[in-house]
Amino acid sequence: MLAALVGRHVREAVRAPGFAVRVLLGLVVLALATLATSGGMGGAARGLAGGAALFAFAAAAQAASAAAVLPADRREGRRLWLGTLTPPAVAHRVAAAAAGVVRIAGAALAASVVLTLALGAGPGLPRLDRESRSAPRAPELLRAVRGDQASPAEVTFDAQPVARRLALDLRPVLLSFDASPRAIDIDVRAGTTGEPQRRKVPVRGVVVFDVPPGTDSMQVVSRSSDIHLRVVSARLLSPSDLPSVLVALLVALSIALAVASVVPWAVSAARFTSAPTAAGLTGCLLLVGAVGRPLLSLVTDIRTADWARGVLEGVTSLAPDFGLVDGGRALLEGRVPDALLSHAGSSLLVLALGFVVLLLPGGESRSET
Amino acid sequence: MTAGTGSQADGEALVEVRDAHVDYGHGAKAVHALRGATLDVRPGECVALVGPNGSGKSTTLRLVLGLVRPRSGSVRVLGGAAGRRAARASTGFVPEEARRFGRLTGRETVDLFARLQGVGPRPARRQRVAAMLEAVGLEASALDRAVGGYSRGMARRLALAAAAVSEPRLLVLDEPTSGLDPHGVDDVLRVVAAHVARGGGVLVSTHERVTVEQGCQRVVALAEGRVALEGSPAELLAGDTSASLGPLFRRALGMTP
Repeated sequence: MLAALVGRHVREAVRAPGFAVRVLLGLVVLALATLATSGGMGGAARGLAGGAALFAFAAAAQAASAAAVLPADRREGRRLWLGTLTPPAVAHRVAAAAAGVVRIAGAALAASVVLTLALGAGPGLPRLDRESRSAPRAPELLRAVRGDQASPAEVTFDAQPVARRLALDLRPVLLSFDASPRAIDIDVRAGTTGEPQRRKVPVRGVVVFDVPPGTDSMQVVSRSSDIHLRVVSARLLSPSDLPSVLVALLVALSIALAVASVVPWAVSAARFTSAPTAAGLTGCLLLVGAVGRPLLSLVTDIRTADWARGVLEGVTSLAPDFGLVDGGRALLEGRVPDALLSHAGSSLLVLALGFVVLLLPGGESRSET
Repeated sequence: MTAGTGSQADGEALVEVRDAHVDYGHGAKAVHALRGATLDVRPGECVALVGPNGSGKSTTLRLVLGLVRPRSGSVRVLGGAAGRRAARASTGFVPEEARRFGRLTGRETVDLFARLQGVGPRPARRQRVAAMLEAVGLEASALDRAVGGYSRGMARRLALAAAAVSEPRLLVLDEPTSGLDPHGVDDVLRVVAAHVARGGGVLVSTHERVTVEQGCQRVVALAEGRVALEGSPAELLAGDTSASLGPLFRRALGMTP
């Protein structure tokens, strides 16, 4: 019964006017965007991130479309007719949400094929890194300042005979009101005896450093006396043994899962709203889910008004955390599977809870037209 | 010829509506769609529900289907409350506008209804779907075309096939012959007659005299939410040479025919 209802929704979506043209155009644009962004610095990882971002928009459109199914059924009288049949109202809600999830999963499979082909034809699939473990915990406030009180931030770990990478989440501590840097000059040194390398890094965010074989520590220090560095987190990355052909599939499915987790909630809202309102609510949920946490972190850092932070905290606590921004950043750093899969669990939980909410009775009449 | 006295047919009623009042809206703006309607549908009979627009025909159908609830009075379908699962499983409904699933083919539409009503397994269901589509006279070439391209007549035949494919005990039909050519009307009436011959019940809302005369054993004429006239087609249409049900409507409204 449920399969019949899901099949009906999927058939109707696939046979919508212009569906084949839209799919073809979308896949072509996805391939071109992946190839275009994979040129220059970053190469394959940047191309993968670009393609993934585009796919996230396409998946979001599918989610919004799924949210519009129930209102359309009511508006066009199908709901009344179906309401005279055996399946209860809850079956229709669950089927609408399940069909949305199926459509997003289908889009993910198609996108992963295109991503694989585009990257294979261009720069090749990106090298995968696995977060083997967190580096030894740094002090809560690890500061490094240049000058007379030069005190490099040192992160230590076990030495290994293979090359690895170290991902440091760095935040600036500005000591002067005049200091408003767009980038920070730092010195980074492998071990305690290596030659310091000068690097320009973003004001905030994760920076990845190469760790030569046999190295057991890395030191970073700011070159400016006006700026301290705070190391928020440190993680060691080592090459993954995951087959690289699965990279694009993992990326697409992780994003698809995150976006799909909103679908049952959107369908729940659509029980009481029109199709445009339901689609708009879906967009808002996805937007907050994608950028809410990074925005909250930024607000916390710049010490804004308490009420503003409170509002943002309230909104982000209502929306599921997709970590899409973190995931995109991780892609650029070549940390493909772990960064994305870290959100898979929470996405699955949100998805399951959404279907539980769909089972709740009330609110929708079988006679709605 | 009686007014609102129920059926004279034998057997336990498939539908029992007793003194049903239905309002749409609340307070001063409430519209009284039904004001104490009483009627029965028994096994092996087709009951025609006739009356002018706004007389309460569609509301009565919705009441029987469990889509609206009476403010007072009672509605029992197949021995229980209207709208419960067992009643829905044994009821087939043909809505007035039937081109709802425009992107599915005719065959897929009827198959969908068969699956939702629990007709199975697949080989038997396919046979039933094919037989039903043939019974309503849909051309074979149309079965695998999208329903959105169907004419009104084809859509009505398809809706009847979808409603009857699970062989329900009760068929509720809203204007099933509207827009059909004479050949189409014959096909619909043949399906109705076969259903009645099997012991099923039919409640049909119609404005078509031919449907009343050739398809139904009893007529219930509604006016302003009440059962104004009830009897056999022969009784209610005796001496009426009009091609339409206009004179009957005027009598139901208490006007001079």
